[in-house]
Amino acid sequence: MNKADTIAAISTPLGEGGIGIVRLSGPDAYRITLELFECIRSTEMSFPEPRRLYHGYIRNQEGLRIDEVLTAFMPAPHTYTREDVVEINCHSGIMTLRIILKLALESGARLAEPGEYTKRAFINGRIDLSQAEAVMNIVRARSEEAVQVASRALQGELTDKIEQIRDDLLAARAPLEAWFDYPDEHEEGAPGKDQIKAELEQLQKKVSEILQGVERNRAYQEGVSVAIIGKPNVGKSSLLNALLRQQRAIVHELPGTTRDMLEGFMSLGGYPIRLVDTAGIQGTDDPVEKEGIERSRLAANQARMLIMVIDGSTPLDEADNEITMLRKQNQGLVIVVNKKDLEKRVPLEDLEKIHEDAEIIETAAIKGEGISLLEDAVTRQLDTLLGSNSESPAIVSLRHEEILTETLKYIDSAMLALETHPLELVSLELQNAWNKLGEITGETVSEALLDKIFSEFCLGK
Amino acid sequence: MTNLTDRDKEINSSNSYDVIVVGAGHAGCEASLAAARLGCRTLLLTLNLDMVAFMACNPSLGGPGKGHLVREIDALGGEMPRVADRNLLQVRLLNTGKGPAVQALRAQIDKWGYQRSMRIALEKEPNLIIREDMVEEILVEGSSVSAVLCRSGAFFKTKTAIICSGVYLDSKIFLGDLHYAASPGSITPSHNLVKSLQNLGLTFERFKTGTPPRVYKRSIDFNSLIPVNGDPRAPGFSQVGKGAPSEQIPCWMTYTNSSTHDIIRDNFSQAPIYTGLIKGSGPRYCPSIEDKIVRFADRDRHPIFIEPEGRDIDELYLQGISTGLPPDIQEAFLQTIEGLQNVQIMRPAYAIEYDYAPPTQLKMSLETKTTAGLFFAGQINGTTGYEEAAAQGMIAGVNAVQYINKKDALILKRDEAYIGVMIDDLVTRGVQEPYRIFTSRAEYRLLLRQDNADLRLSEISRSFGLLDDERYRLYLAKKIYIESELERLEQTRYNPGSAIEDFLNKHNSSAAKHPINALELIRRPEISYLSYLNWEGKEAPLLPQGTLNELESQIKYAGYIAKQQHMVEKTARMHDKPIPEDFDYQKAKNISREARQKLEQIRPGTIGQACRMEGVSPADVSVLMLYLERPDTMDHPEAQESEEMDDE
Repeated sequence: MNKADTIAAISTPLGEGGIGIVRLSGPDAYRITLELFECIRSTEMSFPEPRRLYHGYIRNQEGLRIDEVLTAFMPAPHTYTREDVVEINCHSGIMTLRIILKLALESGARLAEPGEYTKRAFINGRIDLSQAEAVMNIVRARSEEAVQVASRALQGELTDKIEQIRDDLLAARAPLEAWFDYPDEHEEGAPGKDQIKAELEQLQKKVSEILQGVERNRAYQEGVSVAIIGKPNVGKSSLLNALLRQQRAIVHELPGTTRDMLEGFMSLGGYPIRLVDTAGIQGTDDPVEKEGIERSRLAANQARMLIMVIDGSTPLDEADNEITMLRKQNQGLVIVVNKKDLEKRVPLEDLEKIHEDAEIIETAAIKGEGISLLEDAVTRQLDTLLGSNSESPAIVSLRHEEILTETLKYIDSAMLALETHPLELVSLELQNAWNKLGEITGETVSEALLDKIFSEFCLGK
Repeated sequence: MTNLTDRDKEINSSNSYDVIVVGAGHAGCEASLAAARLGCRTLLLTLNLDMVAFMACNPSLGGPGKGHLVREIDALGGEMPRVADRNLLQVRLLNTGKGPAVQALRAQIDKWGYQRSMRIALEKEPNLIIREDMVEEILVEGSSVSAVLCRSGAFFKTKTAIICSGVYLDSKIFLGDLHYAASPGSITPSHNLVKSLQNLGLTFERFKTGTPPRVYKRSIDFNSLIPVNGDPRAPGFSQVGKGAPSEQIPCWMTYTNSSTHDIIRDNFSQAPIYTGLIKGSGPRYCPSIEDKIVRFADRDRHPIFIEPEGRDIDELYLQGISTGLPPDIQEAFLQTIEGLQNVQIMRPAYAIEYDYAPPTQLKMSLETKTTAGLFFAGQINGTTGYEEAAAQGMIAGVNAVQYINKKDALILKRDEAYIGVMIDDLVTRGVQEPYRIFTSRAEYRLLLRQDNADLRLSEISRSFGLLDDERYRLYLAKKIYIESELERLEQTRYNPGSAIEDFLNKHNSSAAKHPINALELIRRPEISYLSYLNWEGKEAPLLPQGTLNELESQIKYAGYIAKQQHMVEKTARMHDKPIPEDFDYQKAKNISREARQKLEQIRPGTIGQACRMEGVSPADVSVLMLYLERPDTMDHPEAQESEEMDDE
């Protein structure tokens, strides 16, 4: 019940639908929005007029435009929560909504608990006395179910997995704590580092698998974005055509209307894939071309994996290397050495050395050669990224995902502490991880847990 | 009788006191000293003046958690650490290398010396009278303490009473199938006091515990035992103590074996805990040897630590082998143990069952909820351990004085002190077995280091008037040195390639790639503060003990410490939120009935305390918080009119 916080959430149902709203509430709602929002008529923004829609763009930290949006500013107290509220109306579907929410969180907002808007409305006196009894009753009823709600949201198997991980965390901690509190009586001596390390690795694996499952599940539902990048004239567009043509039946090709990019949809290994062909990246002074290249960078930045195309008939140069640098950590990569029908000037071994975890495929896109090899490679990369061998869990809420991510960070820190610090610090990180996971199972008393009981109210209502 | 001051005469001749402490064990001694030092006319009543500060069980103090408590008592101006330091037989710093906050001091203590030193401290206190008598009744006026009545017929008026009765309430000693009403030191236990307290509305339950045999030193073959020696450089408990004695006495170690276990198993039928003779529950963490053999059946041996009871007496304590078996069986199984083949028992082990008052009947100040001015401290609250008792004694003593002066009670928070953790646990959650402190009970353990107990608590205790000038000066010296060194080290910068390279090389530390300050250097695992200081050509000045260790912890674990501090602050806003003492839970209909009853009984002072209660779900706390946020909903749950409706 931290009233000084600013909360943010996607306040429209997740799923299909053109428009979605990210809503912020709290004292920093304006500041956070203004950090992300670039109004087309920027001079007006220092004191935005209440309840007016402002047209503009959301930019990420690197200044890249994420989406074109309409933003409304509503000052306290005449709002639902009686706090400053901002609503950002976005147009580009669920993936973009998530990115915008993430940017808001990175700028200092906190993810709203289910029903937190309503709770704030109540505490701030927005909900009147005659409704108080009803609110109390809902709180009462709802909170008694808090754990079941969590269980239902996660569904049996995953709840079991989380309980198991908590048990494992306790099991890993117990011998350390016994050793601290009974230094002499400990017959077995110091807990072995190798043993602890093995336990931590198992824990990392278990949490990562759930997170991977979450992502894969999302990938199945919402699609995976794959960007084709490379210098101009290396054969990116013919590659796109080759890939899409084979999928003709389920493909529909969109011409780049607002952007100098082509996208198409296809299905590979069960994944719906949004394939984006980008403008060739190279140094230029032409402003139009510059804008196109900016967009290519953004597409590369947002893609889950990259297909980097190289002209196999000309030696690698500085521009190719620069494009390689666009790859983010954890992003999948397939390198396509195109034009294999021409004389080969790029030694594959060199590429293999630089990109150990990437797949390298030779194609002649224009003739359709090597395309099925490329498809297999893309599928393999996605399976690796998204963990094909773990069972697919049910939908996990953003909140649960955040808790799992935090938990994994604590376990990683425990691993780090094991190398450089005394075991007390390892135990501390395990305690933190256990407490964190308890926010899902309802066993840790914490602020977040208390807020959870308001989940009766639809998020962002 | 010479040199009597007027004040002395007044106290001696009067039958009226501010504070009466019942029982002169570890809790009672601290309680009475604290009250007397804060200017209250204090009377300490004991069943036997020869038993003041008697260590009824092991001849040692400290260890993880417990050692922390003793350091906190020192920072609060208590007596236990000073008395212990005058009677050290052996001192060891435990858990070095395991982490900054689990490090703890443990010492073997000369029991007889300890009692004598504490007796002297009590006698020296001008505001304090000690007197032998058994308190039989606590008298009240209205619902406030007014007087105590003793077995001898003596009657003392008082504003407050602190009951520190230890295991002397209706206790029963068990030796095999033999049992009789007695307490440690073969003293007749108190019976009528329990009746009197029950009449005030307090309830009692029973716990059991045990103590191992004591044996003749001359009957032990030390050649086959493993010695455990003290650490010559170990500090003491008190900031004003001298640390390890020049001549330390070793402890010894041996193990039980399968023949030992066979004898014990063959005689289970004579152990009171298995014959059902003892009904009270005992501590899981302090099991009898019978318990150990049953519960850890796969273990083929259990360690025994042999500890001296005094510097120049022949009695030894066998830690790890408490038992309820009859004395002849005790001797028989002991004689199967390596080094103890010819052992001669001096005092047999026994089990003891006693009354305690579930501590949920107390406020955080340790005052009973039923009776104003009546405080409980120590084993009566279901705890075990000298350190736990002394710490409660301090708090009860201070709070009796605060009560008299109508001032706010001294309540330490869970992120401030182990004392805070312990009292909150007791009062909020009650006890299912005798309660002892563990470091893992503290959720903010990293903040509660033994070496920063004075940094955490000295200002608080000074503001209450508890801390003497000497200890306060030492605290200031430590604080100022640490703060100024942290600042100096942060501002001392080195460029790559400078003279620092040789130093780093020498300690197998990688070269600096960027400019680096001295704090960052010392944060490296292979560099210590002292090695750095040495390289600088400096020498640490003479400092209060623990200063360097504490400084180094603050440097090396700065990131972790800051993170825990952040967690404390994050929850503080909610957890520190006060609940009015007169909050009407009956009107808070949306809290479940069970939780309402519990809340009514415990009356938590803060939301944080409510969160930690058994039987109160997060849901109940949330509803409670809503009531606190909108008290208007309590009085008029069905009110119709709202404020203006907003357009939206």
